[in-house]
Amino acid sequence: MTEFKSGRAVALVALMALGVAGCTASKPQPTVRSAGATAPADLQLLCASEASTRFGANRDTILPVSSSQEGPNRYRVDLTMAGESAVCVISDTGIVESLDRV
Amino acid sequence: MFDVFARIRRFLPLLLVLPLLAGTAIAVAQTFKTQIYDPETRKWYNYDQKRAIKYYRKHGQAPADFQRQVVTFRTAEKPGTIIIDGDKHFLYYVLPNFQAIRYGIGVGRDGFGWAGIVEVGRKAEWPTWTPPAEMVARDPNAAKYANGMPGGPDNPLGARAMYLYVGGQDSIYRIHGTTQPWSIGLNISSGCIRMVNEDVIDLYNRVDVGARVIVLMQGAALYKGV
Repeated sequence: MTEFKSGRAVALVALMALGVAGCTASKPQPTVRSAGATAPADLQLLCASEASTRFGANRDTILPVSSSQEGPNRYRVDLTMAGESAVCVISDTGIVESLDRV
Repeated sequence: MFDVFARIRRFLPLLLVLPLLAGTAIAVAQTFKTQIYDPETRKWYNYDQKRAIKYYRKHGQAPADFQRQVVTFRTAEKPGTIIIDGDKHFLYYVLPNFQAIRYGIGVGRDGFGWAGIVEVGRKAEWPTWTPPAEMVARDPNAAKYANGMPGGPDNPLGARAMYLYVGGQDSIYRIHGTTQPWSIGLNISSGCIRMVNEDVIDLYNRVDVGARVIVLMQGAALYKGV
């Protein structure tokens, strides 16, 4: 019985620890947001950087000009490149999934 | 609309110098507004001027997300670069090791958004403010400062200004302080980037003349191309 009780206590402590860890590890919720769901700035610039590498374009001529959320974990970023355009799809972890001239 | 066309005319020389900046500068965009979460009602509300003033009076500062803080920022841009995200009302100062200092900002209202790659051409402490000619023409209060308003606590440029240049020319846009600290998070300016004085002083002390500044398109959804 005592063994059972101490086992329950250990489980309870473990659950509490998990609960605390869950609380402390959770991301703070934003207090503000933009009315438009655009891509985070760093992801937009990762697309621009990848376009510069892949197309051999001068990075000073590449600029993200539009972005939108494409599902829960990915964004579309429209780029202008010295008169040309490209479309980049990037995950929220920063992986460029596709990049094409249009 | 007068202001927009006046700006287009003013930018025409730059259009020849750097199509990227000029092209985006004439793209009239509808800006995205900020929304704020109310934990009591568990709803999001538009953060307009009235709500911003009320919030500032109650808390003495802008919402927490607009306070200066170090954040993760995955970028290939070198430390010292400034990134401006007008849609989210954040300015990032890139640090080493994929980090950045994030500041809350106020940006251009509808029709005054712009984008481009520019640089800090010069910096000034307690800068003089000279209203643009079109503002002098329409606003008697501005007209009395046609030759420049000396720097000081009542000057709309606030404690510091960083002048944004393109191709060695003044773009007419600045990153500057403000006499309206409640306006952080709003689309309120004529295209300049405004920060609370404490933040603009902090940024000013970090930024070098010649620093690269990337201004992302505001209200990007309506962009029509260069």
